[in-house]
Amino acid sequence: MSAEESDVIRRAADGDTRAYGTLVDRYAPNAMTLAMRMLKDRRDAEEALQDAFVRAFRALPGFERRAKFSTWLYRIVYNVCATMLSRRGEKDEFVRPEEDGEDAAAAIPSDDALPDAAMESGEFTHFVQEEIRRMEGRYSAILTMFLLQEMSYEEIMEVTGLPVGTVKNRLFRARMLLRAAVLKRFPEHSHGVIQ
Amino acid sequence: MSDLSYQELMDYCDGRTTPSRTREIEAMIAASYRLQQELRLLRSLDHGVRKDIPSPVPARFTQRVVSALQPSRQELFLYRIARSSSALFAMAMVLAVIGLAVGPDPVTGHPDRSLFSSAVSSFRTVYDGAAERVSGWTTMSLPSVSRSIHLPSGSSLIIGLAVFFLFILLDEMMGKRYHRQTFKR
Repeated sequence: MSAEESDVIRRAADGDTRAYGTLVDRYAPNAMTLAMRMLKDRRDAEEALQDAFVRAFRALPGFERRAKFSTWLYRIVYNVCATMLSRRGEKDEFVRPEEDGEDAAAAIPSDDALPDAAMESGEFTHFVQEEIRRMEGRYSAILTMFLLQEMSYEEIMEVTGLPVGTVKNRLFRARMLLRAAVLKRFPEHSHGVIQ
Repeated sequence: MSDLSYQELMDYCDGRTTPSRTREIEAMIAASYRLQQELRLLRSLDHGVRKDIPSPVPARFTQRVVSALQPSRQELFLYRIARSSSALFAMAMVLAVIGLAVGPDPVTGHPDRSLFSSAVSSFRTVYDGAAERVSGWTTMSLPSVSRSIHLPSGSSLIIGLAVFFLFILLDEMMGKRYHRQTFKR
């Protein structure tokens, strides 16, 4: 945490709403992305995000500077979204720890046709991004935290409260779901099986 | 085809394999075009996720959050009423205690049965002396407290105290709520 950010957090914790506005500006985009991945609904995500930022401001005096502010904030966002999912009756699958997937240890098969040239195209990238939006929230949220927000396993565990095995498993499944969708969508670009 | 699992390929891609295992995996990848393609696909997928644009934040979102942090007018109004009321009751109770202390006994009518008669008498003497001097120096005429304030009975004091503590409680609750709203430590 930089000295500048530390100072802004201290002022915000003392009730300076202008300082807090700086933090909202800085963290809202990533927090909004996480909320969207979890809730899949723009209006719900906006409501959850506003609620989360208000809660975070109230809880700010208790924020321990040892943790990263972003991790602490995303945990609040995650919990608010989980509460919203609970109202929809969808929370259980989000918070339930899972065993490692059976397919995680499986060797890479040799008979899948891989999309060769398509991987470089803008259409491929666009398809991947659309697929994340369609993916189940419990997988896309973890994938987004890991790849887009560059959080470590430990930070994701802190945000979600899930054990490391579940975090790894969901990350694995998210990538496999993307892979399967891509193989289905781009068969025409595949170059055939190479042993 | 190989002993490499998807999980290991992902761990390798994420830089989470041990140095010795990394060397082994690199040797396997170098020997297999298929693994090279799988790795390339995995990296392309990750690249697609990393290139994703964060979801747009609603317009004027920061202002909305900051506005939501301000205490509502209604709560502020109720809080002020509670504070004013409790202050008024506090004053009334002080007057009531003085009245009970210095006033005539409601039963016997005896003027000298005060609870704090000596202290109140001293106060009355000092106040009346000061008031007389101020009145002498200026044209302002200050009231004398030589005439005691009268309370009809002690029961009104008990009722008054009960109402007073009720308002103290209300004030405390509203005050806490107000401070939570304004986020002062």
